Order: sequence, then structure tokens, then C-alpha cells
Amino acid sequence: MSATTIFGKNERKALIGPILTNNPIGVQVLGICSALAVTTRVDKALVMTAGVLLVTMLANVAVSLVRNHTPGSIRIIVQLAIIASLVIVFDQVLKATLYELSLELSVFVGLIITNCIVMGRAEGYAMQNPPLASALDGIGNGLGYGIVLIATAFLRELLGAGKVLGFTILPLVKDGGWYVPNGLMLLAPSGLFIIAGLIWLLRTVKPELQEKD
Amino acid sequence: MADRESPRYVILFATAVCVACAFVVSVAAVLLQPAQKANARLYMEKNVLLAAGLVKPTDKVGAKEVEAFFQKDVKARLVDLLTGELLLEDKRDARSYDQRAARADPGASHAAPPNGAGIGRIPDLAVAYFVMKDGKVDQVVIALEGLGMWGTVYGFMAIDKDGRTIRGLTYYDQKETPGLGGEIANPQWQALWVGRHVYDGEGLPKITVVKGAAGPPDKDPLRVDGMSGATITSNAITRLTQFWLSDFGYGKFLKRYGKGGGHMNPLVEVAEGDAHLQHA
Repeated sequence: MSATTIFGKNERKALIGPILTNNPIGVQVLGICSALAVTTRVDKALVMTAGVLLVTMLANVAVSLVRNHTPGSIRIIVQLAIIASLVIVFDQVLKATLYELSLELSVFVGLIITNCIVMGRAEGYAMQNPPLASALDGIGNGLGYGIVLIATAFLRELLGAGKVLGFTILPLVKDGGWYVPNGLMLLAPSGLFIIAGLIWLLRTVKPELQEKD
Repeated sequence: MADRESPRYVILFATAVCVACAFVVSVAAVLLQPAQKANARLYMEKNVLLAAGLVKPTDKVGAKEVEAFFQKDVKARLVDLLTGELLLEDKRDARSYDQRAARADPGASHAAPPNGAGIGRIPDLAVAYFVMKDGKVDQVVIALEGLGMWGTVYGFMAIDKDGRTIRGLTYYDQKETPGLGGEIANPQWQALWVGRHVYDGEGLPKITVVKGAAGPPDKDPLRVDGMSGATITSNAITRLTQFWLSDFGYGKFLKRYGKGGGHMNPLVEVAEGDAHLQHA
């Protein structure tokens, strides 16, 4: 590898790949539980995306930095300690800045610790790759997760409450408008319908994603 | 390079990782604590306004808006729970009074009688927020707390100037099961309390959360719809609400307040027998 390729093919692939062709939710089917729980409103999805993106990126960098010194026998626990610390810090920052949103997200911020995307990228990528590529991989996966989350939240908030980010788009009948909201959109099952539909769509458009068994 | 799998190295490495992680978490916790405390306090005061119906749950209410209400229409005062009298305003600032700390302080609280609400000690002084309308008292907001299923729940209840009709309710700090007992934080459930009565004809606190649905407030004023799948939380809410409305809680105060029918003036009302509060 020549010295000029600081941002080479590997790095580009690490950043761009997870957004579409290797999307963590759509293709790897990771991080589904939080995707169902925090997608009733776009603002929740945005904060959750920020959390997962930052934690995945920083955890990848930290894991990558110590990868050549980490004993194989305790590597998973080391990754978990790093991830848990980052998630606690993010939760503290959230409570200090967006207090009411942090109450609504409740346990789901803490559950980023067990989000398979974070753990999966630390073990599957950062343990074998240098810090810069690992950081980009973290950002890419965070964005891939976030795009699905925000798109799902957009549909759910729009069809369920007639709003996007709290601004009225479709005026509701009870407020004198014309739109009758679909209450199902605010319940967890609709999150599954949308995300499962998306996974189905992605595999129909790109048949090579289908597992042969 | 040392053998990466030797027990000595593994223990040293694990220790180093733990110390580094603990350092990062501690620094963040210490640095962010003042902002978190300020947010929690603002959220608490916003819930006083929510209980009184001065703001709606969907409103964006910041520090400035809350402060404006507290400067104008909302008067925070302290009640001596043993006598039901208001503490002189200049004796102690009600807004900076920490009721949770007072309850834990043996010098500022007294033992509670046996009760089902998980309340061990009662603070000598409790907050009451008077909501003014056209220069007269319109409603008063009192603080509720007690043991739910998973932890202590904290809330506010707004009571009309008649001393017994509920005007609003919020629970702002609770750890009940999301979707089940956690529904106590749902404004739709809280709205079911509005218009119901806290006392029966004899002045006993009889408001009860029942299994299933209660009738409309005018026909069935002492019962509130329970939450499906959350019997323990529902019963806990009944017990803690009745406790704080009894004479061990705000009962004595609410009776004096109800008699005033809006003429109790929180600005000049003087506690007469406050000799026993000298330690406060």
C-alpha cells in the first residue's frame, strides 16, 4: 500500500458501504429492537442516530487503538467496557442538554450498549483495522442505521400524528383539518411493518442479498 | 513485547482499561451534574404548570416561560403539615426548598404513621403552589409522592378553590413499567382525574383508582379508571394519593383552603402557631 492513500479504497468502502449495500438494519438485520421503539417521532430518531453514530465511531477508534495490545481472552469484555463508558457519557450529556427527550428515550439510550451494531463493528471491523478506517466504518454504520431510523420515524410521525418534527403537515380532523391519523403508526407493530417492508424491498431490488439455503 | 496472554499482562491490561473508562465517566458525570440538576428542577416546575393546566404537554416551555409564570400567576409557599397553616413567606423561600432532602433530614421531618404508600417520614414543611386568577386564588397545586411498583413516584395535583375538585394531575418522576404502570405519566390517563373529587361528603379522602372504567366525573366523582395490566401501580397511586390528602398530609391545609373559597390570600396569610417551626 502506498503512503498517499490515506483516504483510499478501503476507507471509502468503510464509510459508504454500510449506508446502502451493507446497511446494518436492511442487510445485516442488526439493531432492530431500538429501531421499533424510538421511531414514533423524528426528533427521537435523530437523537438516537446521533447516539449510535458517535458511540460506534468512538468505540471503533478506541478498540482499534488498543487492538494490538488487547489480550484475545478478554477482548469482548474490553470492547464492552469501552462501549458502556461511551454510552453512559452520551446519556449524561443528553440529560444535561435535552432533558425531556432523554426522559422519553428512557432505557433505549442505555440499551445502545447492547445494540448489536456497535458490538458487531468493534469485534468485526475495528479489531482488524487501523483507527482512521475504523472511525469511518463507525460513521458509515451509524449513518446506515440512522437513515433507516429517520425514514421510518418520518413515515410514522407523518401518518400517525400528521406532523414532522412537531410541525403540522397534515392537519388533523380533531384540530379542524381533513386528515384522520392512523393510530397504528404510533404503536410498535407499524415499525416492524415498515422495516420488514424495507428489508423485503432491498432484497427484491438486489437479489444477490438473498441468502441461499 | 510481553506475552499478551500471560495472566499478569491480562490483569494489568484489564485494570488499565477499567481505570481509563472510570476516569472518563467520572469526569463527565461531575462536569454535567449542575446542568442536569437545573434541568430536573425546571422540569419539576414545568409540571406544576402542567398540573394547573397553565401549559399543555405539547407546548415548548423553556426556563424563561416557566419563570414568567412563577413571577406572575403562580405563588410558591410552604405549608406546615402538622397545623395546615402557611409559613410566613419571608421565613423560607419555597422555590428553593428541597422537600426530598427535608424528608430525609430527621430535624426537618417527623415519622409517618403506618401506611400502605411506603412513606416512612413526612417533611414538616411541604410545598403548595397557589395559582392566581384576577388577583384571587383559583387553584392550589400540591406535591404527591410514594412507592410505586419499582420505585418512588413523584407528582403534582391541582385542586380547585373549593378544596376538593381535582383540576389536574401529573407524574413527572417515576420508574414504573413502560406501557403498563408507566401510563401514570400519560397525559390522557391524567386527564381522567379532572373534575373528580378528592373527599367524600364527610371530608374523608376516598378518591380511588379502580379496576376497569369509572363513570363520568359528575356521576362517579370518587373513582378513576385503572390501568390494564398495572394493578400494583394503580393501587399504589390510590394509597399515596389518599395519604397526602389525609390529615397526615395536606388534609388540614386543604380544609382551611377550601373554606376560604378562593379568599385565602397566599401573600398575607400568616401562620399563627408556628412556634414549633423555629428550628426550620
